[in-house]
Amino acid sequence: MDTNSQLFIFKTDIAELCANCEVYKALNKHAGVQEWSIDTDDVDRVLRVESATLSALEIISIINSLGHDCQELN
Amino acid sequence: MRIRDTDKEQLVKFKAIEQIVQDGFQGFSMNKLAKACNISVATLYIYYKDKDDLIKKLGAEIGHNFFTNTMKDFSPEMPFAEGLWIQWKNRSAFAMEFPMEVACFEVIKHSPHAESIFAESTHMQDFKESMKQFVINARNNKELIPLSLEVFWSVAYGPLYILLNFHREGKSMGGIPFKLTNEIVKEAFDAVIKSLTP
Repeated sequence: MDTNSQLFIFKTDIAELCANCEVYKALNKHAGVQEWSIDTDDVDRVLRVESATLSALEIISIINSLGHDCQELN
Repeated sequence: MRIRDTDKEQLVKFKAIEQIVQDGFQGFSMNKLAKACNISVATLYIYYKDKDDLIKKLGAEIGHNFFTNTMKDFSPEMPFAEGLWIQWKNRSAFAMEFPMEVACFEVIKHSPHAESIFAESTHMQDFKESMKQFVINARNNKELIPLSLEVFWSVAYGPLYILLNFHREGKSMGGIPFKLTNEIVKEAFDAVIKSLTP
C-alpha cells in the first residue's frame, strides 16, 4: 500500500460485479482510486477502496450516484 | 486511517484456521470470522480483500512454513535411507507442532485455490524439485527399487501419515488408545526402508 493512501471500508448492496457494471467502470477509471475490491459473496458486500485523495464521503457519493447503498464500516 | 495491528492479525489467522478446519471451506465466512475474533467486519477487511484472498494468503503461509521445515537438514544428495529418515522426522515434527495448520492445509489443498497457491510459491517449486532429485539419485545409486510415482509416495510416506492420524485422533483401529512414540516411528520407518530397497 502507498504510504500516503488510506484504506476505506464500506458496507454496500452491490450483489454482482462485472466488467460492464457501472460501479466497476466508475472505480476503475477514477484517478483518485488506487485500488479497490468488492466481496460480493459476503452479506455486507464489503467494498474496499484505497485512495490518497478521496474522503469516505466522496466515495459514498460516487457509489450512491450509481444507485447503490454505501455506508462506511467502523 | 486504518492501521494494521499485528496481534489482531495473528488472532485472525488463528481463528480462521480453526473455522476452516471445523466448518470446511464452504462453511467459512468473513462475518463468522469477525464475530469469533470479536472484531468488526471492517477490521477484517483491512487485512484481506475477501474470503478467497484470506484463504490464499493463509494457504501460502502454511505452505511456506511446511516446505521450509521439511527441508531442514535435508539434501537431495543424501543416501536414500538417511534422507528419507530426515523427511520423516521433519514432517512428523511439523504435524505434531502445528496440527491445526496441517488440518487446515489439507482443506485448502482440496479447495479450488490450491493450484494458484502452489503455482505462486517458489518454495513449493524448490521443494518439489528437491524431492524429485532425491528420488532420481536414489534410483541411480540403486538404493531404491523401481516404482511408479504414486506407489513410491504411498509406501514412502503413507505409513507415517496414517500413524500421525492415529496420533491426532488419540486412537487407532477400533478405538484402541494410541500415542505416537519415536520407537513406533522408527519401527514403521525400518519396515518402509526394507520394502523400498533392492
